[in-house]
Amino acid sequence: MKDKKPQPPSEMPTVVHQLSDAEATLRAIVSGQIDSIVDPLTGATRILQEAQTALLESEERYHRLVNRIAVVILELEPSGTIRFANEALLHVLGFDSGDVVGSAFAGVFADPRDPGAAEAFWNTVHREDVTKYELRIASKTGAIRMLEITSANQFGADGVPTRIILCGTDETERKRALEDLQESEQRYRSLFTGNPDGVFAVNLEGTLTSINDSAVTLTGYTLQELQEKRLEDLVASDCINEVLERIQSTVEGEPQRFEARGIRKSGETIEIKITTLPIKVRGRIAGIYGIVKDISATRLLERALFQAQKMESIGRLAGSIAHDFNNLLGAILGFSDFLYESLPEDSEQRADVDEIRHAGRRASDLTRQLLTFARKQVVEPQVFNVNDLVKNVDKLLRRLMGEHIEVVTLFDEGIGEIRIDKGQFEQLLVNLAVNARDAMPNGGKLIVETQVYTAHGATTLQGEPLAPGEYVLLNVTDSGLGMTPEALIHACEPFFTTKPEGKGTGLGLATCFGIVTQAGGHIGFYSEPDHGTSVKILLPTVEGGDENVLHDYVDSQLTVDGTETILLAEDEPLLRELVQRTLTRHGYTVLVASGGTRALALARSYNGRIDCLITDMVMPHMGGKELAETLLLERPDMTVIFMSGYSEVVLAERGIVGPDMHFLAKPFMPKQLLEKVRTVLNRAKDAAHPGSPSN
Amino acid sequence: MTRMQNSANGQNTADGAGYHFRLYVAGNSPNSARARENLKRICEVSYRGARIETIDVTEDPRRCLEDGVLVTPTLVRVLPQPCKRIIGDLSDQDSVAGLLAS
Repeated sequence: MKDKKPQPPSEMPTVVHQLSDAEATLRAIVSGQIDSIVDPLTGATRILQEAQTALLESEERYHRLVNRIAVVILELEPSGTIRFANEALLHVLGFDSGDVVGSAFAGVFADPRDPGAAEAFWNTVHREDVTKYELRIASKTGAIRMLEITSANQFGADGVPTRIILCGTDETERKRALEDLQESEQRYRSLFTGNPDGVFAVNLEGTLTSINDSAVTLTGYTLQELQEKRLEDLVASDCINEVLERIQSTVEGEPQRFEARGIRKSGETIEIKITTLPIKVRGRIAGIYGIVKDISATRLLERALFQAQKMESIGRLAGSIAHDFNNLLGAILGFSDFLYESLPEDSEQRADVDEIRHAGRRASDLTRQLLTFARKQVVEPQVFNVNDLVKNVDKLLRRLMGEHIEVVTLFDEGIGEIRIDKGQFEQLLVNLAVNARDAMPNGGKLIVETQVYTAHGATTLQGEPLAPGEYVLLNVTDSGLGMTPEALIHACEPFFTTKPEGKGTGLGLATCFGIVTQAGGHIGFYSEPDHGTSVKILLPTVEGGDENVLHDYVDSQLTVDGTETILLAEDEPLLRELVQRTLTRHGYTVLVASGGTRALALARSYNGRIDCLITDMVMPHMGGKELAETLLLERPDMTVIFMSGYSEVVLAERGIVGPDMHFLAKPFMPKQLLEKVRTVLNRAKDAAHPGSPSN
Repeated sequence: MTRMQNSANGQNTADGAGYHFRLYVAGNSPNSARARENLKRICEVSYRGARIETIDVTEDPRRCLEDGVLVTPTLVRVLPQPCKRIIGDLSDQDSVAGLLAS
């Protein structure tokens, strides 16, 4: 019988396989290569002791690392619930672990000012990994922290994230420092770019490294053109050496401030103030900064102010001399009148005295011009239309010019009215016309033109600021020889003349200056040699109405004699005697005092009526104003006449004369004195007894 | 913990194409960590492009039941069939590579 080999059961391969597995498992266990044993029924895993210990150590190491590391770490469920936050994150945001673990990410960290930001971040990170995502989230106190987040998500076999792990760094301080730095940079940059002064920087090789718009505009070149320019193209040749020396000193470490003259692209020269300072980089000088300011307008204004101050002081001097001179002239003219009248008509001495009177009048004219320049001339400003005033003297001008000069008048009918003394305006035109005529010996053309001029932020030709408002512009232009720049500067100064000796007094334009200034206007000149001169006069317009402070009531038919009692106060002996003699001769009783105090005492000791006080304004101890005010309290019916070389405008400005005061300008002729006294006394009588006949 | 990934360079080369390994580990236990490292190296050398699936039994213990895994670390060759398993930390890399190829 053939032995039949037993067949292995069908489960055999599986059993072998399982045994082989079991053997391999045992071998692995014996060799210590196994970490855990799995319950084949439940899947429950038991970690072997050694592995357990190692695992715990590993986990502890991991936790220590995660909590000590400066990097912020956050672990989240796919639902957004916070599972773990490391200490760095809790510290940065000021939370306790209990505040955040178990809460929703978007709920805990939402920035109240931008609530969508946390949600948007969550929507992104939960789908895909992010790298260096800038996240602004709110701390416990509500302060915003800026985190730079990188995610390391764990995904399941289906590609769906099973855990969201975020790690990152707190960039708040760094970003704030960066923002501060950028802000600081911006601030300094705006100091450079927005500076109205020109600012530039050059390196030690002299190459322009930066320049602001103001500096480019100042030169008139484009930036490209400027980069090709040399210093010599931008600075006046006579300033080059100083500029180079200053630059050298700056390069050696000494900041400099100096003035120079720059040349613009147009060729125009401008006055500039330059500040240079060294650029230090890591303690070494790497170039220089320059700040350039255009001071042309300031210099122009300073010169105008200087000129105005000069004119003012010359005026004060001239006015002061003329004032004293007036008193003397008054006496010379008055006494020579007496002498003239006392001599027989055929007397030789009478002719001599007449010469004295004639010379006295000429001296008086000169004084008047000086006073006009000094704006101390007695004036009667009234409201006029300049066109009418020019038309009034049109014939005179044409006669003055002669046949070889054509006179053209151009009127703007829209001009406003101005307030000026008519006589002075005529003198102004005549003086200008005479100058024009003398500048056109071979004939030419004189144009007198009026225009409306509205000033708004404007300046005069001298660069002085002009008060805003309406003006009448009077242009007097000739086609003559013109004036040099030097002559233009001094044109208005008294006794300055370009005319041949004996031809001009040097008071013509000075008088014009005084007239225009007294009327509140401005005078300017524009002239080029051989191309004529244009005199531009600006006179402010008025609303209309005559507001003269003083009114004269001179009646030409007046009888000048009288019997009233007059108190005279005058410290100048010659004038005092002249007034006394004049009044006494014409029937008045005159009480004479050499000053204010004496006049007061005299009045108090005099029991009779005093009808009128005639007093000088300026006297030692007690002036005319104080005397009049004191006496009027005691003798309210008395009238007062002030005598002064100052104009009524000046006196009104000083509060000395008012509408009820009377004023007699020095120098005066005896006839003028008598007329004034009689007029004033008659008006006083009329006021006291209306209807009764005056003297 | 379950994680799916391609081999180191992410390319399917002829060596590893068609291979699918499933490694059962117990967290970061020493043998499991070594098995991970060794499998990674074996694949870099011999099975570039093979699909490696790592299953942490402490996270997902029920997965062990699918492959009848009793201990960790255990490497299962899922593809190509027949299914093979190697128990231990895979430190004998040559033998492991040979076994996986057979």
